[in-house]
Amino acid sequence: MVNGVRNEISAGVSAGIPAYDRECGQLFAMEGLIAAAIMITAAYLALGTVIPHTNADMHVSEMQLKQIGDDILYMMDLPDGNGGKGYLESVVYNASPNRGPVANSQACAAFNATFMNYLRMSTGATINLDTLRYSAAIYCVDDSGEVIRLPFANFGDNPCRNPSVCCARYVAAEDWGLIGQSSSDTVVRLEVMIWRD
Amino acid sequence: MRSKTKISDDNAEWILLMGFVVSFAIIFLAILLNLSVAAGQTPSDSVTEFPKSQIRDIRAELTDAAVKSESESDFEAKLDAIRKLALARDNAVVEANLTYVGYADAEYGYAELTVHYNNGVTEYDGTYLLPKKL
Amino acid sequence: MIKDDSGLISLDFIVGFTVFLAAFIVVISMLPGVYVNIQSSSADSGRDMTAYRTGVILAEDSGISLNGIPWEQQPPMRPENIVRFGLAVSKETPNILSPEKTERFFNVPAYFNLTADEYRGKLMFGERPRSFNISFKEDGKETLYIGDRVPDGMYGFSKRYVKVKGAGRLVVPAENLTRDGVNIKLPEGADEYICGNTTSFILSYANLSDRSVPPAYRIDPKTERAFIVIGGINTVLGAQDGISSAVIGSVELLKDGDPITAADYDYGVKGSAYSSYPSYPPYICKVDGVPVENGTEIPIKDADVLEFVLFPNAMYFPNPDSKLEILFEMRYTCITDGEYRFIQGETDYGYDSPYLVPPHLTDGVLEVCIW
Repeated sequence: MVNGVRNEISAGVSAGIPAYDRECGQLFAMEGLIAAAIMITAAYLALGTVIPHTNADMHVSEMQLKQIGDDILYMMDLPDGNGGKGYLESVVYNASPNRGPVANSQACAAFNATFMNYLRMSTGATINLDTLRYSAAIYCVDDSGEVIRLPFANFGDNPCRNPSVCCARYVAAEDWGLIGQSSSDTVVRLEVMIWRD
Repeated sequence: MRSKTKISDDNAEWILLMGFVVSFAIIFLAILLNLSVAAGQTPSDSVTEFPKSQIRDIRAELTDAAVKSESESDFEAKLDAIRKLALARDNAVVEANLTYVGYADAEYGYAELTVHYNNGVTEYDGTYLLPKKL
Repeated sequence: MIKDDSGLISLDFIVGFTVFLAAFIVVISMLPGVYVNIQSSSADSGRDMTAYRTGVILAEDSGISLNGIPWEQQPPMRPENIVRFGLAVSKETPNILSPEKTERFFNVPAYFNLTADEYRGKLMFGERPRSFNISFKEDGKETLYIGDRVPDGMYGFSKRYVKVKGAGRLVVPAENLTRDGVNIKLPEGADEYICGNTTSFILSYANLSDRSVPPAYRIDPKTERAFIVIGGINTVLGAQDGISSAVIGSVELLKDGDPITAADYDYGVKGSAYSSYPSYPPYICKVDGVPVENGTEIPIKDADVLEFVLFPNAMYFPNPDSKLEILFEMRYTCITDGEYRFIQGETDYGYDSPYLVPPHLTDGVLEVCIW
């Protein structure tokens, strides 16, 4: 009934009324549609971007491992008394290839024992699961200026590629030389990869 | 009585235009927010990224080398090894300079060691006076 | 304008309004999702980062106080003088802890007796009230801890490996302290003759603050304990039968020649800096491991080991060339004539002394749990 009245009116006066009168109702509809589109788009984008902040967690574990590894290497490198040599210096001295394989394996065993002892140290306030494993390597510079990697001690394998962190320490190496090359007092870099089993 | 003299009724155009402007502004800010999260850093990222232990290690090693080495060439050899290792393994540029300065006070003679470390994200310059009892 | 007062809403308006309402409802329904995400993310990483920051504050910093005196030497009734805790020996020696600071922080022996809130404020925990447990274990000693028991669930964790700086000791065999050939003649008609002399140890700040010794191995009586251990006294004094008794009558501390009195220990407030030890001056003498009360005589004739511990105080060396003298007033009672060897004389407490056992470092681990 209403439609019929309107149509009749509009049909009756369409000839004499300007075009905008016939379209004035469309503006309401358009307004509504546009307002709806604006609100939904803005709200979706604004609210949807807050969610990804939760990925802080996976890096905290790496940060803790790196802190532990750096601390342990620093402790092993501190001399016990003024002017003394740190423990790492004596380990690296024996790990020099020109010292012979016997001394090298002794150095590996000594480093392994000390490092695992440190990893297992705990105050007892929390339950300390013995899940930390490591793999160490020594990087040195040879006569031609190349950086050479020498595998060193390790405890445990990482076949499933658990995320590991790399901690390193420069150690003064006395009378260090690769096989067949000259020996000198130099600096080597001891790198340890640590992961949770 | 019709009082309008304009040809078209464009009252709603303002609302629509303002609506468009506001929505574009909100969309732009939201995109910025979105991108900043992808480029953002969590606190643990910042901690891992700052080379605190590397800088302390380089400083301790060079100080030891400066105090213990008997000659300039000795120190230079050690510095060269550190330079190559740092560049190859740590992607960092390390430079150091040791001068036995004429600076001395009543009890100590001083050597001056300058250390430079740059791993592309963090740059560090430090100057240390190493005292030696006269 | 066509006047439409039939009370009927136009169809276009209804469509527009309906779409608007539907969109509005969708937007409102998205609101609860905002707060869920924000809360959980900051809680987890917040705990771990608080634990990390606390670990750094304790292990790598030496603490801040309001008046220039180290925070562990503040009077116990003035905890507000402590701005921030820190256990490291100094800022240049991270991960090397000072035993004095560790004792004061873990309140063993009881000194500051701070509440949990005061700990939180001085460890920069922030506005969020978090429970904490900070524990420390040095190799060969018991675990020290403050805080609540660690829960079984999630907690933020930080583990720092540290070294504890042991105190410097002067270990002197008693023979090296004796001067030979003291002739004693008993006066006429007397049964015994009491001979008095002094034994002293001199700490010279110019020698001890040697800058070429790294701070990790430096002896600093202003901030750490100093030990003097005299061994084998009974082989020197006890073996001489003519000495019926040998005592240390009194112990005095002389700062640049002037005796240190109780007034020197007050920082303008009642109570001395180390008032956990009831009497002044703050030192402890132990004969064969048994502490002797300060101010009483110390019989040493048959003692094997005399251990003297000088506790730190920030006012000991006011000038760069100050000297601190530890003076033992000795009294020997001789019952026969003869030539005696008495313990007496001045000994230097310095790096070049052959008797000095320099500070050494012991392993330790510090764990921080926050939940």
